[in-house]
Amino acid sequence: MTISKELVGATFRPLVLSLLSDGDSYGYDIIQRMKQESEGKLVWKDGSLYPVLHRMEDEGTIASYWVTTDAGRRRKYYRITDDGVRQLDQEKMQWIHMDSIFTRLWDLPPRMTPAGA
Amino acid sequence: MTPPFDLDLALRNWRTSIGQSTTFLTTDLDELEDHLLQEFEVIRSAGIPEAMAFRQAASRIGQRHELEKSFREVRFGKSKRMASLAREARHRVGLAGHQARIALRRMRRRPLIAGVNLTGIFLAALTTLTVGTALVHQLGFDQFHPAADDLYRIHALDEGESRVILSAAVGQSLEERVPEVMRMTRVFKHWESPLITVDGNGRIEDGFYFAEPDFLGMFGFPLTAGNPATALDAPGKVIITQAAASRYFDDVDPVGQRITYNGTSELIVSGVFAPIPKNSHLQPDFVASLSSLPLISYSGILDEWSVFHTYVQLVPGASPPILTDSVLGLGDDDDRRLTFFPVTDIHLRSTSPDELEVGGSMRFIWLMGSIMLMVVLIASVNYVNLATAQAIRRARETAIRKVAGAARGEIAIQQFMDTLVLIVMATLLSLGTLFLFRAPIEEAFGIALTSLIDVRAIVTITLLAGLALSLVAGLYPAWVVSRYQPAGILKGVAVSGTSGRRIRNGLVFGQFALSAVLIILSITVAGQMQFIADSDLGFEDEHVVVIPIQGEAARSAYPALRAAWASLPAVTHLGASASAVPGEPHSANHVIRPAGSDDLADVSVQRNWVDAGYFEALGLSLAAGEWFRAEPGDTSDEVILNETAARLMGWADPTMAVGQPIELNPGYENRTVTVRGVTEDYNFASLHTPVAPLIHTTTGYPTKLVLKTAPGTTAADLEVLHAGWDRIAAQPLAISWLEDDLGQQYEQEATATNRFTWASVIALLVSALGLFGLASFMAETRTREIGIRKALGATRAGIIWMISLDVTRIIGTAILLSSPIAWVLANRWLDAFTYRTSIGWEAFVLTGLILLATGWMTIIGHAARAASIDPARCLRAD
Repeated sequence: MTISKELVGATFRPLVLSLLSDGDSYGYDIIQRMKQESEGKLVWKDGSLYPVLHRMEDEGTIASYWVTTDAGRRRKYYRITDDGVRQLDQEKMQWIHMDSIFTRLWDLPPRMTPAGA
Repeated sequence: MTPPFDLDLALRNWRTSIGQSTTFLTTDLDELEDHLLQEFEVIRSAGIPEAMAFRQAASRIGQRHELEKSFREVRFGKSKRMASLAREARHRVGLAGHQARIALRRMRRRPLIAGVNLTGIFLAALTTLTVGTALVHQLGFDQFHPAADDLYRIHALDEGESRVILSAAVGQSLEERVPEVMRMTRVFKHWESPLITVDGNGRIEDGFYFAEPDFLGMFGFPLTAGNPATALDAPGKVIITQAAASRYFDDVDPVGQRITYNGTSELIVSGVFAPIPKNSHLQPDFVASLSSLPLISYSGILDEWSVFHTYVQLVPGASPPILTDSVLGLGDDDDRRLTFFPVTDIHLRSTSPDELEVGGSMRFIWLMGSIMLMVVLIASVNYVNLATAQAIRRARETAIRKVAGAARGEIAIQQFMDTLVLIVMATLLSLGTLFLFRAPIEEAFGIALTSLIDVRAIVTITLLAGLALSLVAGLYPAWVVSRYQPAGILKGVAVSGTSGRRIRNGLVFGQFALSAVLIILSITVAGQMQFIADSDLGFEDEHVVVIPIQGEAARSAYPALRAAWASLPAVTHLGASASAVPGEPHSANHVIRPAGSDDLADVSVQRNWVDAGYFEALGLSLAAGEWFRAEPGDTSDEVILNETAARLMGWADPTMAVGQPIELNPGYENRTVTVRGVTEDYNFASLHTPVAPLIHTTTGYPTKLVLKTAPGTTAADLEVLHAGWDRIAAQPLAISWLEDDLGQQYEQEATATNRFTWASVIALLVSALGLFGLASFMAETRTREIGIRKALGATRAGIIWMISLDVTRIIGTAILLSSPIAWVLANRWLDAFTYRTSIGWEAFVLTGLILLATGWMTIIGHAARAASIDPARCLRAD
């Protein structure tokens, strides 16, 4: 089973924000972790995720800085901003809300709980 | 053996390939490269060989176009758009520079082809610049007037004839009765140029106008001195140009100075014109107030004569009304309509013989425009031909670039850049040539650029010409070259040569067809010129001298002068006219009828006032009767008709006319005169028109002296004329040879000959250049075929024959198919002449020979070289 392009597009931001809320990271690491978390069900060309990172940077939900690695290479790190944190909260609320709708509709056992509930 | 995997090199290549796109910034590339490296390490650590690991990593990160698409979606969104466009533009400029360098390198590598291309485009650019400048000048006539679109001249349409000289009353009435008319000026220029003297220093001035005060405001001619509001508001005032001022007044301020008109009337200079633009249909040197006219000419002129050009300015936005004489209160004749002719159309579209200055014609515009277009077409075709031919040689290069990831657009742009570089070079070259060799170019094209050089026009034309050439010559090769499919080419499958060759042969055919048309036209034009030179005009123009004589003093002294000159050995006959000599417009619209008949018998004739010596001085032949009596001052009631006039009067045999009484201008002149003689028809107008009916009446008032000189008389021999002349006349003795004056009638044709000849030479040259380049290419690509033929026993001569046959076939077809077109065009041109030559088969044969000779000479070198190929060598080469 693969997940549609549209849904990948919609989930990508909250995924990135969630990962970065655990700590700063760089592109390759973010992508690898997203692959792990999604158990390989989110399929994309790795390189095409960078533009989305850049877009989020423009929007101000994440920020970036360059670090020189031990091997002497330049590497771009991303961190979540305050705006990003607020955005993530909103995203969480929305996704939980959506989940509860589908859970009720499809008569599934509830797995998500609203934040702070 | 495969070389060991070099990670740095692989990374660099990958980065270069991705970096070809303008979408990525350096930081994007850094980030992606970092990602690729980590991916590579992970895959390699799983035990995959390095080279394969790298390929897998690169594949996971994505192909260039995939990455480009997703980056582009983000990059060109909203806020970043402008910044990235600027970056994009900077990048494009850099890229263009790079491509231009590649184009130059390509040109250096094949100097022969580059030279051929450059020369062709250069000739096209030169033609476009020269002709374009002239066309812009011609089409821009009278546009500079501040209210150009509201300015009209009144033309009277009467029984299908359009007349521009009208009575003064028309202007008066327009101003009073037509609300659309904002202001009006009547303009008058005497058909006989006046003698202007200042302190005894005299000259005959061709540009002497009379006009009303609104003349200045309507046409927007500024004054550098004097008050425009009062400069023409009273009799006796005249405005002069700076050029005229310097002729008479040196350093003195001309305003307030006096000039003498025809030795009798004095005018006071009231202003000085800023230079009159060259593209004005009015070219005055002097403008006197119209109110001066009754004082210095005939006193009833404003009331009685129909000699005025009437100009009006309509209120802005008003459309010209339709007017008849009854609307204007000029009588109840509603047959005559008065139309408003736009001033901006006068130069090119008026066909009136009564223009103030010589105008241009739409024929000129079409002619020059077509020549320009043909040369540009031929040159472009040339370039397209060579560029596509060359492209086949470069097919492999193109294929490799494509495989390396170049998009079709990039290949096309590179090819287009080749064209652009060439055009820029050619344009600069032609600009340089134009400025260095202006005089010969002006002569060749019959265009006076000197007066038209205007930086803005040059820049505009250069840009337009460059753009047009780039589009015509650049697009097709770019399309063809970028279309190649790399797979086939790299596998060694040849580019399909046949279809390309057919197109190229077609283009060569087109070039030679166009050249054939131009050559046939130039032979026709030259033939007509020769025909005119050989034509019997019915009078002798050789050794005939014409001297204008003006001023009362000179005229009254004429009998004495005549007696003195008649005894000179250089002068064999001496005559005079009060109006015109052959080649000049004769007075028109006179009416004669046999005495006692009604107006149904009216014959409209032209008229000349001459003395007894006039006929012999011109060597005219008498058909019947006698010439005028030789008594000076004979003003008898006798006339001499020409044969045409006699025939129209009903006297088929000239002898029948002699002694007949006729009424001359019944209704206003009301004279009954007797036919004394009939001349054989002579061509007193020009060979453009048939001989019109003509009547000669006597005069005692000469304005032009006609001297038949002894054969071999030179200008120096005529110095003796000064002795008598300088005593009686204030103006300098102005001698002109009738033969030269008549030649000027055909100046347009002479210029046309020049233009066609030059256009043909250029067209042929460019066509030959194209063929030359193509032949060199053909010889190269056919080496293998020729090698095989030779190996099979073909001789050198046989090979040369084979190659020539191709060219001969193309050129032959071109001549055959273009001949009918050329024939039609040539005949149309000749139709403007009443007396015209015909187009013989010789013209077509000659054209064929010229083209074939050019074709053969062009390819013979290549054919010979191709034929001397050593088959063993060229066959081994593949």
